[in-house]
Amino acid sequence: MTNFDDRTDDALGLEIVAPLRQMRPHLDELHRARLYAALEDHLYTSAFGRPGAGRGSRGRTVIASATVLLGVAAAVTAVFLHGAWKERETSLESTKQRVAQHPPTPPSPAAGPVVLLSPYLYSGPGSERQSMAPASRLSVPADARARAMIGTRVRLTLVGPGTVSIAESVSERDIDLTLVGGRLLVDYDGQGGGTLRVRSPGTVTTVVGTLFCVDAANGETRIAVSRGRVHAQTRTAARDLATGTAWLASGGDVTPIPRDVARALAEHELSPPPPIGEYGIVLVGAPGGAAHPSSALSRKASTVTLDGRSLAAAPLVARISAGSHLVNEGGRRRAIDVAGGTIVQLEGTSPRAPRAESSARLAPPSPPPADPRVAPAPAAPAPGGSTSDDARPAGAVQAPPQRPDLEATYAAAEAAMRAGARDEARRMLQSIVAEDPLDARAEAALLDLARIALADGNVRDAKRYVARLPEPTRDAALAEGAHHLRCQVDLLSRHAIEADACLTAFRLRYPASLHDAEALALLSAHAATCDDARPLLSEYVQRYPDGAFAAAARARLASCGAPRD
Amino acid sequence: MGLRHVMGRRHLLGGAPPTPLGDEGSRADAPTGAPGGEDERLIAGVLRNDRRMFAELYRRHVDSVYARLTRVIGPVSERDDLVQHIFLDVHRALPRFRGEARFSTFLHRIVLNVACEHLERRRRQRGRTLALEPQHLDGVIAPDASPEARVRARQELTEVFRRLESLSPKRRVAFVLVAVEGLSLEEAAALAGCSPDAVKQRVLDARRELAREKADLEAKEGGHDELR
Repeated sequence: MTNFDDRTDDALGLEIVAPLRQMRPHLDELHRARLYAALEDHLYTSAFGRPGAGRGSRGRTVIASATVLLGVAAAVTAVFLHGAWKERETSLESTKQRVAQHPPTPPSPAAGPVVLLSPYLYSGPGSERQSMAPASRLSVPADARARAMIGTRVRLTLVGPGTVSIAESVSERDIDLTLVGGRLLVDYDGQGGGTLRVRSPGTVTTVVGTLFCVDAANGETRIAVSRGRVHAQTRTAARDLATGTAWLASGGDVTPIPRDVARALAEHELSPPPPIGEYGIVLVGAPGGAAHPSSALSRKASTVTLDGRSLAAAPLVARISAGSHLVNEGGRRRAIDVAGGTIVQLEGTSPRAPRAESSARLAPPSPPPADPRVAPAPAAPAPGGSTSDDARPAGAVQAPPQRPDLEATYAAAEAAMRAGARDEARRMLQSIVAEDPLDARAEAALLDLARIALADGNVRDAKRYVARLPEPTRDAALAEGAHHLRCQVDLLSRHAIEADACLTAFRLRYPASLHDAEALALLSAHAATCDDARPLLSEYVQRYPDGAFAAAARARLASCGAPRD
Repeated sequence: MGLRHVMGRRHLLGGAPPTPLGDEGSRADAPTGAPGGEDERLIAGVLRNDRRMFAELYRRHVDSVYARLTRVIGPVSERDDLVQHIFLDVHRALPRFRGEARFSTFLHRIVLNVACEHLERRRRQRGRTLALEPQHLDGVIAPDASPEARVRARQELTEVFRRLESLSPKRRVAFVLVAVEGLSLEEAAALAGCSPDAVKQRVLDARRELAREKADLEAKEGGHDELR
């Protein structure tokens, strides 16, 4: 082989070849996924019919290819639909709501489906089965709700009436869902790469790591994004939707995310984790029967919330992650600590009713005796700190104060932060966000969550929280802090250009800020040339002669010398 | 401090051979970094109308396609459309792929054809200057570059692609393959679909043209200085 042109040390090499060699063109996951989604539309989706538009013979060829492939796709679909499915009468959320699960399509000769929907949520009281069999399709009736995992990275809630099905997939990296009616709330962790696509009437939504909602009703699709970005494509339009936006795909402008959707997404995000890893069961006012004799207590049904999210009316059985949780039934809040593989039973939560909490190791099928290993309640700081629950058995469950509102919870979170109890603070702040994501307290909570994440060195989470903050914040008092935090996150994320723009805007908007010296120093340090740096350095030296950066600023000013004419 | 200072100038000093940018499978005859038969297996699947196989083929090669396309035509916004065109062409042409060359060679021939077509179209739009947007430039700069290096790299790349615009598409492709990517004449010829001699001539012509263009520019600037 002939190595012909290796002259990279001459002028041409230095000026042209070297910069070209140093280029590192790369696609991120979202970009790669978007490209493929568009490509797939051209190849396989006749409904979009775009290939020929303005592309001459190439487009016509694509149409021909797509036509042929459509036949194949139709055949695959026929096989898919042909798979026998029967409705399982498994109660979810309450005994009155039913979720239809459809068993997976029989594996094709080429490769069988290995990724399926794994419903996991609330089995009805008395049900022995805590998790449900994997399925290729879930259907829920009106106002019912089902939750499922797909692999380990997709967690979804389907609010009926609707059906979601999963296409055959060889790995959980690339998941293809089809939504036929209903509201689909999805939390997708794209950290490890891969993509998720949701096909709904007339629209394909492609995501890489985000929290979003696809609402399919009356042949229309509405998409809303609570965190991250998604790309939505219809036959005539495409939109990149950022955090806090929504779009009616049949036509319309991108609008702020509706309050109810934001709330639903927040609730979904904080919903119990899937049945993987450690989990426990909590029974609230469950009749229990033979399995839990201590719970034989008849009482009036009341709505139960767990960590600020509404579950259903008691009595209920919920599978929840191991750890500390706040349970609220009819206004009575309790902090519980659920160890992995245990059952925690709460009952008699009516204010005047006697109460008897108990817990047990999970050891199906026979009910085990109460297990003292269930830890007492976490030391959740709360204002007031006392409880009226004098009848509570010692060592079982600690009752927090009654009806703490958002303000009180926030105060407790602040106290926890001051005490260095970050996990406790984080949990309470998250519950505030879940309670009402559009409330001003939720803004403050998001800010604090971001700060905690930064303090933990978790830039990714900090970014996630900052991304959920509205801009500008509804509470003007938070605006400066939020802006400064955004700049910090940009800096730590190594988005230098965005950080500089952010800092410049920050200085313009808050010239008297305590962070101005820091912002000015950063901008000076980032200035590439002396001409750019000189005015910033001079300003720093003039305004902050004793500042931490003053000596370095003077030194650089000296090395830059006087400006050229 | 320029980009080359920040990112190392080892191979600019002539000591080491140019590092081929073949980590993405850009060499004509180089393996694509995976077991040799993987592409063939995927192609067979595509020909059986297995969508997943085409998705996998795309996933394996899209990065190298994107990288080479960027080096040839620059970090322009049209790259996304062109990548789609390329893979649509590949999908259409796969039934004709007989395995006489490696799939990567077959694929990158298409890449270069599409790139040449695009450059031709751009040349026909006379009077329109090449617009490189900052976000696209940032997308090709190493993410760990300091702010100073980033600014300098943006300026350098803008200047580089402005100068490359003066070349004909074929010369430009040959120059990028040989001078930038470090491919041999034979490798470049296999991708460009011409003889090694033709590639050599194109590279020489490109170098001359770039040198002449620079001399003209310097002469013009010198004239301006004298006037001042």
